[in-house]
Amino acid sequence: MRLLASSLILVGSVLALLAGLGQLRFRDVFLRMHAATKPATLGLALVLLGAAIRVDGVAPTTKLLLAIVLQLLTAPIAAHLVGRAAHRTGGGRDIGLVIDDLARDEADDPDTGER
Amino acid sequence: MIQVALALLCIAGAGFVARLVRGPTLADRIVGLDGLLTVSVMAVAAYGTLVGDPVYAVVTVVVALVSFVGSATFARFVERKGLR
Repeated sequence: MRLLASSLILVGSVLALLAGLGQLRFRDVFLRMHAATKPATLGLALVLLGAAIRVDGVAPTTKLLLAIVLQLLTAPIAAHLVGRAAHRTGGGRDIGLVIDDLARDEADDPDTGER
Repeated sequence: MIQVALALLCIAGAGFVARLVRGPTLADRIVGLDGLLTVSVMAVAAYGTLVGDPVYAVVTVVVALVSFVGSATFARFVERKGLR
């Protein structure tokens, strides 16, 4: 059981390492977000699950599982807000996006979303 | 094994710090800050299992929530002000 927990923590850390390398190698903000948002859900869930298996007692296990649930709920929202902010402050214009649905929707309806 | 995981998390954190310092736009800096806090939560959980102290479980919940509130607020601020 300890080996399983340690393996989960190690796999999650490898995901985080790949995200950190992606920050150095990718060329624009959307590619970097693509690298950074994977360990924000899966990697963190793996590490916290490993810690929840390995820790003693019911209360800390419950807290770690609560942290997993909270992160699964909040990480996509934060990534969505950051991506929209990057797009609206000009992040998408000079990198040659092939499909840009947000720009199309905002051209159709300038009131899309809240400012 | 946990020590190896902590070393990997340190390298990942260095990558996010580099993005936080260099990042040409403000959105890049938000990505770096958010990723750095995610890596911090992972490192706190891994270190907590290493020393076997259950108090670190509380820290993961708090830092995860602060990370979300911070990046959401920062993103909305950047978007509303139109900063680059």
